Amino acid sequence: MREKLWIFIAKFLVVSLPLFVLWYWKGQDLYISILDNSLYFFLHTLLGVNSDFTFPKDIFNNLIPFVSLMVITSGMKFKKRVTKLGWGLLILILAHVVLSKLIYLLCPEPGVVSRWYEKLSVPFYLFSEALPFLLWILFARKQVVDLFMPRKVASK
Amino acid sequence: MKKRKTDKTKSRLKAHKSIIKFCVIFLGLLIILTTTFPFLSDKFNPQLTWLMVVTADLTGLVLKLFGMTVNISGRVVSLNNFSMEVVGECTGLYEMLIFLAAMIAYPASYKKKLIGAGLGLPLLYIINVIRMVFIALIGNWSPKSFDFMHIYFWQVAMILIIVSVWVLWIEKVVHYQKSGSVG
Repeated sequence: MREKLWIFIAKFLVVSLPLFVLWYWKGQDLYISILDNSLYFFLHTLLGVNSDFTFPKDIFNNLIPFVSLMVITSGMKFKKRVTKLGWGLLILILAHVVLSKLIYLLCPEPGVVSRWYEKLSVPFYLFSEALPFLLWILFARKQVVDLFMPRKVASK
Repeated sequence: MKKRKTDKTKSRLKAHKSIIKFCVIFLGLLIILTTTFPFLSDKFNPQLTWLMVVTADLTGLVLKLFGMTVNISGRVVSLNNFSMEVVGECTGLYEMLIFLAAMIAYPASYKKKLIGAGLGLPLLYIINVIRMVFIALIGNWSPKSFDFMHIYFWQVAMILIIVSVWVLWIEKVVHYQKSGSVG
């Protein structure tokens, strides 16, 4: 990494905490509303397909660590940062849609938790929590490349 | 001078390939983990329950060291104004699994990975206990803030914790030993 680890941690906390406050306060409900309406528009209005979804709030929280990691990573030009952030968010949103559909299929009745949902909820969360880390490594690879190089070459 | 520059470019290209390889292996491990977890958690249910009880005990112990009045009953930690039940997500196990997947996917020797597991997993567990103590104190001080802090420290800061321990392992174990063997 191009900076000391403690600076990276401090920057993450400074950026992610206010972002999470906004997200917790208004963002997540707004996001679910936009997602629900967009899916209805694309699937029902444009394609004529009836499809129901269950939107679990917890799974959507992974947007904040991804945005925070991309914002605090140093040495990235503004335009590239925004483009990569956009692609990453698009992948996360698609993952949200897939997971929301899977959760609906596992728990079609509201308030009734199926045996399979009980078994698969933790893996779903695990996957959704690890995804921002994977996307960050992929999109900020020029910035984290030093981690993948022998120290002798990296320090030159 | 020119040769040194070419060597560095070659190393960078190799490193970029390593990153792509890391991402593919990490994703593969996550998929394996996701699909096998339900069966493994059934098989290791007594061990998982034991880990929850130990985490509750340790959280209570640290709170007592801070002079708090704590009552521990199995997986439940109770303070004056607040009680919390330690569940699977509170044990740090999931962070450890993601860290292990990231470590296995990283190009390093088995020895360094074993050192990483030996140091990283206990470190993650200690960080997790500190997190539990912190959210218990928040819950006791302001129960209304508990949900917010719980979600923030489990779902948002979790990635930071994993990234930090993973980077620490690379910088202090993998790279340290490499520079030692070169020099």
